[in-house]
Amino acid sequence: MKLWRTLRTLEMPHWPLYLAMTLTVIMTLSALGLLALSGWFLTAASIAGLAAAAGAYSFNILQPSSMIRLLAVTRTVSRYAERLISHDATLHVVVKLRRRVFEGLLATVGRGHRADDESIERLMQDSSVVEGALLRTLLPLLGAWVAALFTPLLAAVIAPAAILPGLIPPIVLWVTLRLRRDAYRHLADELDQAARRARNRALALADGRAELHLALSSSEIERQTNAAYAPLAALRNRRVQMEWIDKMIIGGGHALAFAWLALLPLDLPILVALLLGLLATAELLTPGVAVSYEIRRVELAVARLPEPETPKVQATPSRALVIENLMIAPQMGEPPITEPFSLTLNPGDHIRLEGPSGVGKTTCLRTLAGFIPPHAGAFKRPSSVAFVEQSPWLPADYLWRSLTLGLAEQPTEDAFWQALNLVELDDWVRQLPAQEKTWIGMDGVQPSGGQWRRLALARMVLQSAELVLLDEPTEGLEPALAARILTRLTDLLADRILVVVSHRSETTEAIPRGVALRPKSTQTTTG
Amino acid sequence: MDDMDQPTDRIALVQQPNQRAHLILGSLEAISAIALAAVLALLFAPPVTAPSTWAVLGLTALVLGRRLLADYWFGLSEIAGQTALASYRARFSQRVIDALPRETSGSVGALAIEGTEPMAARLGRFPTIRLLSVIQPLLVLSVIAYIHWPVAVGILITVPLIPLLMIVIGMGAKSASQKQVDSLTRLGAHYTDRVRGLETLWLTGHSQVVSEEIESSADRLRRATMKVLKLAFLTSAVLEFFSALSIALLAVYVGLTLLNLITPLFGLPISPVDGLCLLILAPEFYNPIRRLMAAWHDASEAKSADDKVHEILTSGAQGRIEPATRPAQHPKALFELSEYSVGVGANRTLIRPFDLAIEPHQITAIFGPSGSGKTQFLNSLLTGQGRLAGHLYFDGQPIDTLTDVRESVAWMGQHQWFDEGTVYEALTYGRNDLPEQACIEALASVGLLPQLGDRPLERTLGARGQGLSGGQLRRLGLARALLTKPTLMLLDEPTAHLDADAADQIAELIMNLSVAALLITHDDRFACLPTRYRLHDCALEPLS
Repeated sequence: MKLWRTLRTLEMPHWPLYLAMTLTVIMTLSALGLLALSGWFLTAASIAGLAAAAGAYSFNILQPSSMIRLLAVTRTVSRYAERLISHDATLHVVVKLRRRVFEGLLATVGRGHRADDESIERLMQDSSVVEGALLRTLLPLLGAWVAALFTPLLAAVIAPAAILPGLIPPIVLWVTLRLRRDAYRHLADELDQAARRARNRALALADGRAELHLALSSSEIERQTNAAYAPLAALRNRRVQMEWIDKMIIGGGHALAFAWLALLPLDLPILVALLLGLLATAELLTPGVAVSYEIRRVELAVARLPEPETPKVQATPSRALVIENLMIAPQMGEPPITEPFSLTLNPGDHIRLEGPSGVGKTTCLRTLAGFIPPHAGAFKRPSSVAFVEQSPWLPADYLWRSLTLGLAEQPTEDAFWQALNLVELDDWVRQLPAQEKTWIGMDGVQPSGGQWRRLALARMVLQSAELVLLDEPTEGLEPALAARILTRLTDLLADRILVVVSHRSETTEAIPRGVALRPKSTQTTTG
Repeated sequence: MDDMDQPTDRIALVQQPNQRAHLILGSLEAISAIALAAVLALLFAPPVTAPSTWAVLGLTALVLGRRLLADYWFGLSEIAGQTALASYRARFSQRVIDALPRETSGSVGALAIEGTEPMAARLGRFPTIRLLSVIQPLLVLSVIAYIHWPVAVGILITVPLIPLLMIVIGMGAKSASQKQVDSLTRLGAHYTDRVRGLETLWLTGHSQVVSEEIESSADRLRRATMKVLKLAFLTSAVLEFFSALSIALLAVYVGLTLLNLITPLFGLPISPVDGLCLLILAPEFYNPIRRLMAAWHDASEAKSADDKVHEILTSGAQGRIEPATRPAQHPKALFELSEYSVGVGANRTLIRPFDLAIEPHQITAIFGPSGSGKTQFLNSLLTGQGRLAGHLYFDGQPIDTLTDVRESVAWMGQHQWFDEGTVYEALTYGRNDLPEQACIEALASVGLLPQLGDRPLERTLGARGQGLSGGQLRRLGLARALLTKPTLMLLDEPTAHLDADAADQIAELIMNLSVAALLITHDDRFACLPTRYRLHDCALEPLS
C-alpha cells in the first residue's frame, strides 16, 4: 500500500507505528473478549445456580471472574496506551514531514514561483492530511478487521461449528471494501476538484469584492456566495449516502451471521458468549468503510508535497557580476518587461538601479538573487549574495539568532555589536529586556518598520557576502540617519559589489553611479 | 470547557440545523437497544429451550434495526453539518465582500475551504451527540432501575465522578501545561515563520542548519504535546474504565448472586433474564458519553478555526463613522464630495478634508504612491468604512455611499472578479441576463473581439481568468464595466502589474472613454489628463 510506504520512508522510528497497531489489536480483542466472557460466565453461573438448587453443584468461579477483571483492566490500559502511542507516532510523522516539506520547498526556490500565503496555507493543510493518515485510515481499518475476525477466531477455539457463520462479517467487509474501492477513490478525486474550484471561487469573490458591490445587488451577491460552496456540500453528502449503503450491507452481513449463530444447537454459555461478542463487533465494523476515500485523499496530498532534491550544481561563480543580454520577467512564463541589457560590475563597483516606477527594478534584483530564472540571457555572479528586500524577513527568534541563523559561521560578539552599531541600533538593543537574547518578532518585541530594515541591514553586514543587493534600504528612515548608514555601508563594502534600488536623494549622494532600466530602450549610464 | 458552549459561529449567525429528527432517531436507537437486550435475555437466559426461528428473526431484526437507526441519525447530522458549513462559508465570503478588509486577498481561498472545515462537525454532529449523550443514557438508566434499582444507583454514582475527575485532571493538566501550551503555540508558529523566510534562507546558503532547527523544534513540539495529551487522555481513560468496570462488576455480582454465593443487595432477587439484560445494557449507558468525549475535539478544533477566520476578517476592518446632518446644498456636478476625509480607525487620518467635483464625461485622476490611502479612499466611497467625515452628492442628490446609485456606477481595477466559465458568464457576472449583441459590442469597443476567436462569448476562462493575458483580462473588465452604460466609472490602478504594451493600450482606451471617471493611479501614462490631483502628506492637492 502506497500510504504505508510513504509513512515508512519518513525515516522516523518504526516502533511507534508497530506498537500503536499492536495495541489496537489488544484493545479490540480485550473489549470484545470481556463481553463474551462475561456473557459466558453469567449464563454458566445461572445454569450452575439452577443445578445447585436441584442438588447438583460444581462451578469454578475464581478463574473466570479474575479473567473478567483482567480483561477489563487490559481494555482500559491498552486503550489509553493506544491513544498515547498513536498520537506520538502521528507527531513523529509531523516532525519528519515538516523537515522534508521545508527541504522540498527550498528546492523550488529559483524556479520563479513564489510561495505566497495562499500556497503556504494549502501546504500546511496537505501536510496535516498526511500526518493524520495513521489515526484516520490505518488504525480504524485495523480495528474493523480485528473485530470482523474476532467471532470466527473465538469459534475456532470454543465451537468450530460457529466458524462458518462467523466468517460472514469478514467476507462481507472484504467484498464491500473491494467493490466500493474505485467509487470512493473517484469521489475523493471529485471532491478534490470541487474543493479546488470552490477555493478559486472564494478567491474570485475576494478579488472582485469592490466591483461586486456595484455590479450585483445584495441578493445576487448572496446567490453567488451560496453557489460557490453548494457543490462541495453536495459531494460530501454523497459520501454520507455511499457510506449509508455500505453500512447497511455490512450490517446486513452481521445480522445474517447473528441469526445463523443464534439458531445453532450449541451449549448455552458458549452460544451466549459468541452472540454477545458478535453483537459488540457491530459498531467496530463500520469506521473503516470509507478507508479508500481517506487513502486517496492522503495520496493526493502526498503528491502535492514538494519533494526534497539534491541541490543543483551551481554555475561556476565568478568574482565579478557579469550580465549578458539579460531580459527579466516578474514570473516564469510571463513576457519580459525590459529590453535585454548587459553590464559588468567588478568588486568595488557600487551602482543604483534607476527607472520609472513599475519598470522592474525589484524584479531585476530578485532575478540577480536567483529567485526568478532570467527570461533570456544569462549572468554570472559571486557565490555569496546578500539581499535586503523592501519588506525584509528576519527569523522570529532571539535577536542573536535572528541575525545569524543560517550564516556560514557565527560572528564574534564584537562583530555582532559592530554590525548593530553600523545601523545605530546598538543602544536600542542594549535597553531591551534581555539585550541580544530578547525575542524579536511575533509574541516578542516588535520592531518598527524602519528598525526591521536596519536589523536586516545588520544581518547583511554579518553575512559578509561578495555581492550585496539592497531594495529601498533607507525607506522610512530620517534623511540624516539614512545618509550616515549609507556612508558606512559604502565604506564597509568598498571591495565588494553593491546594487541598490532607491528613489531617495541620500542614495544618489552615497552612490553616484546610476544604471537606468528602461522598458523598450537600451540602458544608459549616467554620472 | 465552558467556552465550548458558546456559539462558535461568530462570523455570522449560521442557522443551527433542525435536530429534532436526529434526536427522535437517536432515542429510537436507545429504545431498540433496550428491546434488543430484553429479547436476547428472554431468549437465551437459562433455563431455555431452543428459540423458535421466528423469535430469532425478530431478534435479528432488532440487531439490524438498531445499527441502521444509529447510522441514520449520524448520517443525517453529518449532512446537516455540511449544509451548515456551506452557509458558513457563504457568510464568510459575504463578509469578505462587505468588509473589504485589506488590499490583498491573502489566503482567503485556503481559509474558506480548508480553514473552515472543522465547522461541519461543530454545526452538524456535535450538537446532536451532545444532546443524545443525555437522552440515551437516561433511557437506558431508567430501564436498568426498573430491573434492579441498586445497579442503577451504582451506575449513577459514577456519573458525577466523571465530570469531577475530568475537572481534577483538567486542572492538573491546565496548571502543568500552561507553559507548554504557550511554547506549543510558539513552536507551531515557528515553522510558518521559517517557511515565509524560505527565499532569504535559501540565499544564505546554509539551510541545513535551518532544517535541523525545524526538526528539533517540531520534536520539542511533539514532546510538549505528549505531556498535555498524557493528562488529557486520562479523562477518556476514566470513562473507559467505568464502562469496562460496569461490565466486569455486573457479571461477577450477578453471577455470584445466581450461584447463591452472595445475597443480592436489599434482598432483591435477580433472575438470569435480569442478569443477562443488565449485562448488555450497562455498556449502553456509557457509550453515548464516550462518543461525546471523542467529539469534544471537534468543538475545540472548530473554535480555533472560527477564531482564525474571525481574526483575519477583522484585521483590516475599519470603523464606519456616520456623517453629521447634511447641509442644504445644490451641487451642479455629476459627483461631488464635500469636506470628505478618510482615515484608519478614528485617530489616524489618511486624507484630510477636501472637496472634489467630477463633471459629466470628465476623467479626474488622483496620483499617489502606494500606501498613501488611495485604496482606502475608494473603499470608503463604496462602503462608508474609513470615512471620517464629509458628504457625497450624485446628480445633485445626497447619497450615503456609491452603492446607493450602483446602476449608474461601474468599477474597473487591478483586482477583478473572474470565475471559471465562459466569457459571456464573465461579462454578466454569472447572471446570463444580458443580450449577446450588447456583449459583442462591448468586446469590440475595447478591441478584444478579434482576439477571442470564432465564438468569442463561448470562449472559456480558467480559474481567476486563466487563458487570457493580464492585459486581455483588464480589457474584458473594462468591457464588463461599460456594458451597464454607467455615467460614472471608478478606476483603481487600471494599469498596475501589466507589461508596458498592455498598459499603453489600457491607458489609451481609458483616456478615450466618454464617461465620467474617478481614476486612482501612480502611472505617469495618465499625466496628460487635464484634471489631476495628487495625494501628498495626507492632503489632496490639484496638479495643473
